Amino acid sequence: MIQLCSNDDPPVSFTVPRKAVELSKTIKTMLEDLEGFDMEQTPIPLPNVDAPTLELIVKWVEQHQDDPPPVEKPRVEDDDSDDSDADDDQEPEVVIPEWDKKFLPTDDEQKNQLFKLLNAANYLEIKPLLDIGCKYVADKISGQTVEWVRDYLNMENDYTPEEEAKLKEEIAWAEGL
Amino acid sequence: MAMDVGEERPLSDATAGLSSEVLAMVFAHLPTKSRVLAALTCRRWLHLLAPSFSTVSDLRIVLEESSCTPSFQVDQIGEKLQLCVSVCQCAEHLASQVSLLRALMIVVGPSLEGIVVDDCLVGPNAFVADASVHTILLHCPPTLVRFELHNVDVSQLHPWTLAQLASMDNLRELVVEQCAQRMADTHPPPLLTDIFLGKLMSASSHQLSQVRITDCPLVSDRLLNRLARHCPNLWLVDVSGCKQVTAIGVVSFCETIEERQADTLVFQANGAGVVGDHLARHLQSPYSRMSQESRWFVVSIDVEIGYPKKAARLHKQACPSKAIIVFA
Repeated sequence: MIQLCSNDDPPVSFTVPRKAVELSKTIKTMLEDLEGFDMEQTPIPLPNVDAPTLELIVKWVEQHQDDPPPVEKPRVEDDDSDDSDADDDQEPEVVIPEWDKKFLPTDDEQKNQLFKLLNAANYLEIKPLLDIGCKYVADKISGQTVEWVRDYLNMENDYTPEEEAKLKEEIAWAEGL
Repeated sequence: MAMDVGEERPLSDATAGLSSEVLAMVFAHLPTKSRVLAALTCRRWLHLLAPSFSTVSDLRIVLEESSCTPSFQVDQIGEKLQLCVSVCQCAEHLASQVSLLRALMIVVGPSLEGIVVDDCLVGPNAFVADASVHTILLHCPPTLVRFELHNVDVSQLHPWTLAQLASMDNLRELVVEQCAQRMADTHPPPLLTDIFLGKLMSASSHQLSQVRITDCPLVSDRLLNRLARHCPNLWLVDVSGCKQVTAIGVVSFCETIEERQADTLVFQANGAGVVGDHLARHLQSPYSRMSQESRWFVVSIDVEIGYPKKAARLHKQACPSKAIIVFA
């Protein structure tokens, strides 16, 4: 078992089976680098992850620890017909499994938790979790108005007020795109 | 107000949203059309999205009344992407439309090789707005290879807008096809003249391989004389419908035939003022300087372009490997 510590004060620690924790490429690499040390006794601090997010991560890796390792596009095979529309997307079509659909914090008031989870999955390099999360967000913003998307993604502070005003006008017009 | 792609600003509070890296992955799941739209929403996105447009090499801008809501189409041509954007030029949408073009040019501009502006406006006051063309040319890379204006009424264009072409020294193709302009004693004076077009091509004269300027009433032999002397890489000159162009224009290319890199220069002058008979007389008259230097042959030929088309093949005895094919 491996212990993971959140960045809270005091840190909250979780004990996770090594097999599950190795779904994180970041931690797996670190464990390999530290081969020979008794990692069972040394908690691993995660400076970028808070306790609620870490709890979700732990839940996800424990659920998925027995998944077959991701070989080339394992999820595309079952759903080839969906892929036929001639999109120039290089990304393979990602299908979110049922368990993950329920797992992802998808209520709108939980969106910041979702973003934290994805940022953490990126930091920890848990690619399958990152893929389904990004796919979820992409589906969510696809077809929405620009203003809605910016609001959803907390992105409104990127422009000067002058640019923002101009942009508003552009967005109103581009909405029908 | 210039809008730059800008430096990516770090998020002050990492919990406020997705990190740029994750956001880029989200965008990877979006179809191209949504990505173009997303690129228009904020500078940070524009910055993130720019790489996904890096393969767009051709931009085609179609102006039409029905495109008040712009439409996009991306076509894959080999390794490259052609982005086709249809927009209107209605006065009330112009500001937004120019902003769109500006954002687009910031995103796709650096990788562009060719730009085509195709004017399908039909209304009585349907002119391409200066701001549209200005924005496009302003964000063109200096490496642009091809610039084409089709059916564009240039009456509203300022000289300095098109003059931006004069700084591009890598142009290989310039097309100004059936472009109307206000004529005669109006102010400002008409734009598409020998002198102005000549200036546009001055920086790229050594690169130019194809020049098509058709149905332009003010273009004359003077421009052709300039092209003949300064553009050794030309292999296609099309001045169809330019009434002022005469046999003298073709003679300019005959005079410089030895400097030409290509073995054959195709000279299209359908509906221009080139008379085959005059051409032969110019080249073969015992009084002309040309015929004193070397003997010239003017041979009537049929060129197969789906149907046989009459043409004249000109070559000179002293330089038999090079020829000019004239369609008139």
